[in-house]
Amino acid sequence: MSKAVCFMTKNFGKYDVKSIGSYMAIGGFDALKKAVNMTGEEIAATLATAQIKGRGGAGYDMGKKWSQAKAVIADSKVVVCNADEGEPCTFKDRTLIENDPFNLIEGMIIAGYTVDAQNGYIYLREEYSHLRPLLLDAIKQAKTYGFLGENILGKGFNYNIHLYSGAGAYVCGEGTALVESIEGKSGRPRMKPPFIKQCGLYNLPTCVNNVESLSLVSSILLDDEKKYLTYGTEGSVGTKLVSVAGNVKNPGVFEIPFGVTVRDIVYGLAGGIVDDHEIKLIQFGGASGKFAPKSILDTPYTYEDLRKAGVGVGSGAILVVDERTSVIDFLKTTQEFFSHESCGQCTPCREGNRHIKLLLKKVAEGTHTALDLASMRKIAKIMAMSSLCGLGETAQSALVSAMKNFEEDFQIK
Amino acid sequence: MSTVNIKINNIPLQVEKGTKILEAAKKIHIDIPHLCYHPDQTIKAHCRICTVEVVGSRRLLAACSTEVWEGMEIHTDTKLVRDTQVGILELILANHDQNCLACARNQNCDLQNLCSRFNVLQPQLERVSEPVAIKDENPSIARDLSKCVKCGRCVKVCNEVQGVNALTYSGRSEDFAVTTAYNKPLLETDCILCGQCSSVCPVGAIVERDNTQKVLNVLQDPSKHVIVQVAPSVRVAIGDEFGLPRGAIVTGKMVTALKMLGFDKVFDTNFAADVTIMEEGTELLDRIKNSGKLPMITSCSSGWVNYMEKHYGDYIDHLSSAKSPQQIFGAISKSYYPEVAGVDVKDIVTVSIMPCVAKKFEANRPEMGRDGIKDVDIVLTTRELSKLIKYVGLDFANLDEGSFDSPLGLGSGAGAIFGTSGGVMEAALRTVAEVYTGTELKNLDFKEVRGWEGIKEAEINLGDNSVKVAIAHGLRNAQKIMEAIKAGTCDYTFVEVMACPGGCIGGGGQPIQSTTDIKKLRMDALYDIDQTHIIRKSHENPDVTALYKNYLEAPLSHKAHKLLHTSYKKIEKQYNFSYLTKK
Amino acid sequence: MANIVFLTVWWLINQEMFDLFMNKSGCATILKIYFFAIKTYTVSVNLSILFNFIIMRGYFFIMAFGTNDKVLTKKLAEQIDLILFAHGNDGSKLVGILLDIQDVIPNHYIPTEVAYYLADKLDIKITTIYDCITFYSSISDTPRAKYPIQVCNSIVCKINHNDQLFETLKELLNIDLKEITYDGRFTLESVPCFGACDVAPAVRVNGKVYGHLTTKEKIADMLNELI
Repeated sequence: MSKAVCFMTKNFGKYDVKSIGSYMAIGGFDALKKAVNMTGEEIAATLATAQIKGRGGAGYDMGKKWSQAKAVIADSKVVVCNADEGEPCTFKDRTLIENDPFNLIEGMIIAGYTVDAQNGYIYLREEYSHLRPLLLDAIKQAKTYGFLGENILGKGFNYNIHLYSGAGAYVCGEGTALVESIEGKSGRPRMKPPFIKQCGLYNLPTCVNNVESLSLVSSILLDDEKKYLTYGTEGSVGTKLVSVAGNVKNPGVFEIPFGVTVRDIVYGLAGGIVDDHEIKLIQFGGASGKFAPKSILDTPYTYEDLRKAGVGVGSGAILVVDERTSVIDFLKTTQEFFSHESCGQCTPCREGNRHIKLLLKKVAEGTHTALDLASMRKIAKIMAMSSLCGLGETAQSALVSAMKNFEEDFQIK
Repeated sequence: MSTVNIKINNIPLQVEKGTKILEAAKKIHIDIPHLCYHPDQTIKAHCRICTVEVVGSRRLLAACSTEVWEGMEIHTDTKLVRDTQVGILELILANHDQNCLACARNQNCDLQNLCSRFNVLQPQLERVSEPVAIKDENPSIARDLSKCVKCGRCVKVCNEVQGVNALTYSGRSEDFAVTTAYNKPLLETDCILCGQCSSVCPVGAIVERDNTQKVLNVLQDPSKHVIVQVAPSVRVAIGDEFGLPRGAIVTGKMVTALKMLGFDKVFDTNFAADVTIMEEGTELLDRIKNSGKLPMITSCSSGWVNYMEKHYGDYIDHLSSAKSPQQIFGAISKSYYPEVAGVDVKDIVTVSIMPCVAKKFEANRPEMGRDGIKDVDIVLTTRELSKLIKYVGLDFANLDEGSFDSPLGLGSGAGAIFGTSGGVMEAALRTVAEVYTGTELKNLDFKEVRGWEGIKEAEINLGDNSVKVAIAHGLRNAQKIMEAIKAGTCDYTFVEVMACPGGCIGGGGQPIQSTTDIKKLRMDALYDIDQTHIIRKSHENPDVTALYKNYLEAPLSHKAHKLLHTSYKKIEKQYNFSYLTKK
Repeated sequence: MANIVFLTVWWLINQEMFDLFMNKSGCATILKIYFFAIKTYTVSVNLSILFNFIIMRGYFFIMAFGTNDKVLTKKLAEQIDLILFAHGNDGSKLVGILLDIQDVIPNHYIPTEVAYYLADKLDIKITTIYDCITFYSSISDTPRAKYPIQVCNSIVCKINHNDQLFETLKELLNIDLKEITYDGRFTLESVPCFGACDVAPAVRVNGKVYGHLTTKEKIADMLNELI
């Protein structure tokens, strides 16, 4: 019995993604029509009741974010959709755009209406360039039908959506780096303060949201029976898209209610392990996530239970690794990723990643010393404590959890 | 302005809202370590050495960029903070050339100071530094990327302050570097060699090309007659290097030091500055009278001349044709001086001490000399002079007061203020106003052209007429004036431009870490020197009068033209795309 | 008559050989053929061949070195100008502009000259452009190939045997990573995750994703599709 549900994915396969008419025929843009008859505060409050934690991985309450954005007093504001899904083993945003592009557009328009923005920007990673025509066309059709442009639905609300492309930099998933990229510069994160909600894109108050977060908006607004609140647990309300991949038989994106166990996801939805191998470890939340040994299988998939178990939800990525891969090889591959993606401007991340890469090589060759292990712990702590942005802060999460859960792999020969 | 109450290391204090933690700590005399922070630049928060503990925050926060809030409790000396600072220093050190003895910034280096402060004696980490050979053949600036700590100060000064944008960040992660576009040598980029980058670099990654050994060699050669000229800005800055108060006027000690170094004659660039006013003032009056190219723009700043040739090449005939004081002195030292001193010009070596690295490039220009003899042979910066003084072992602060030699050592008060923004303008106005109107000026202080403002404008009465003048310092400000000239939206007659912020007193060759506050003290010092002079107008300098009477005849004479004037050349862009629009 | 036919054939062969002429081994081959011809045929034929040789070589020489050998040709400049126009000649759209220009340049990179051209046209600093080109992985300052084959090197593809995928591609194309095939058609690049984890191990070529590349046949099919 599949534990997957169909709340935010209810439109998948139900309409022609190239046709706004076909979207409207299944109730598309009804949420927008409802929204423009509410106040921004009411919309933010509705979302707050649904307790949506930001789905990009940072986990900031969406209702609260929109309410704060609305409260900022400025002539111009912007909304940004962060479609720079760069976390390895995460492909849920791709799936949402491929299967329900108009829903995302609708969510963005509602966001703009709520926070009083005049312009919305979708920042789509370059690696999803094949989705550009789809989104551009959706935006064009929305404009033709009067859902974008001037005086939308006769409410005096002016709003346009612009599509920007990334160019191959994971760090541009960080809010301030993203706006630097849209402004035509290299995507190096800005220091904070000032915070992006006061001074972001073109120095305007900016509200950044993940694709999944925005894709939930219309379903929540039309959810008069509060069906969404029946899913999940007290600490983790509702549903989540998880991207399951690795050594599983059925990798894919699944919408699960919070509270199902990791086993339900890995064995129930993803079909278990290829060739029935044993699980070595499961990494949660992408390359910057911590991982756990297979004892995590019976933990409920919720924010609070995963945190207690020493991991986290993050982007919703669930990477299953079987016994054929060594922990050190796993860490080396992850380190390659961060060494490639660090923007390089702050010392802890640039130099820290450089040295961890060298030290991991020694560990892999078995030539490391106790001093090397101490250096690794020290560097990981410095990076977590003092890096300029989240990339440096979380780059060594996997290493730290490996040194804790798989000590034997680091034994000095 | 509202205030907030905070605690630093349990010490309560009250500061203005908006103050950063780093500034707040300074108020109670705690120096939070920093590398990329510079008081005259926007904050970068890259190096992360200034991170401190703040109660309530799970991560350390950067003190340079975090604003205090009401009730904030900061701890700058917990184990976590110290371990992080040491760890970051070790990370930097592992990627840094370790041969301090061979470095120009040995004993004057922020990284050395921090490592020494935190007992970082050697890194525990693998050395990853490799010497990065940069082929950069220019006489002014040398770069060594193996010493770069990637603080970004040079990028900020080049882009934000100077608006030249020759330096940039590039690449990612391990390839992150501070470099020029396509790693080209500086002369092939937009760089104009102002050297501001070298004066803000905390380590030895960007330094001036060192000529101290050349000077030592020539001083020790008995067959050479070595003379030296010293720029006005050096005498109010060199005291910094010897523990004297910032902005102290140390002319006398400086002259004594130069004599003890072994220079045969110690002369004053201020003398040449007066000659510059004679030439340039006459040229200005000539252009006004004969509808010449206006506005006329000063040409004594060599970085500025480079900038005009490279970026506004179609407007170079606005520049005064008069050489800079350095070069005017040089030309006189190789023509007039040998005659009056009875020395063979081939034996004369003219050394100049300048607050400037672009002057090294200027001295090497092929047009600056004749018959195979250069006007100026070697240029030293203020920093290099202090090195020489230390080399010879002089106790600078306790030297006696000395005097410049004759006949090229007497400068007027007008010449003395050449080193500050507005000084050349004021010096020129004192002469031009008197010559133009034919009446003696009652007030010699043109206060409207003084001060730190980026662009100053004034309307000066010359008898029945008035002329509009403008003064700009820092290239970003100069660019604004050039754009106005280009667009035809300004009606200036005379414009003074100095490439460096504050003028030469803030030059690229001045003591390291000259901040705006220190530069302002130097500005004041130069005006003080002016006040102490009896002769405050260039045209009343008797040595200058003698020079014209006995040798040059008159300003803009044929001889004066040959020796003291020059021409400029537009530097074509590296890539010319005009072929695309040709049929 | 025979001579005319013979000369025509030689002329045609020369056209084909132009490509080869442009590299050293090609030159040597042509010379070898000519010496063989000189040894074998009559004087008149040899004179004709000599004449042909001088004219043809001269023509090719002028073609190669005498005329415009700049990377930024008028045609390319026109294409770039159109792209700039489509982006409103707005320097703040630099990233998108660079990606679009890269798409129209045959070897998918940004030549130095083009970067300076953009600096000129958009009135932005060359350092900003250089910073963008070196910062973003999808933008290259060195020539790639007509079909850059980007193989994912991240963890999901790694644990799904991307090592075999790498080796097979190297074997089939006879090149190593970052090398370009002799005809400029393919190059191999190792890139981080592009979100195709559900079809690992995967490859991306000019925006199109090819997944489940677990056998030599599937990999060969993909290459054949591109040729």
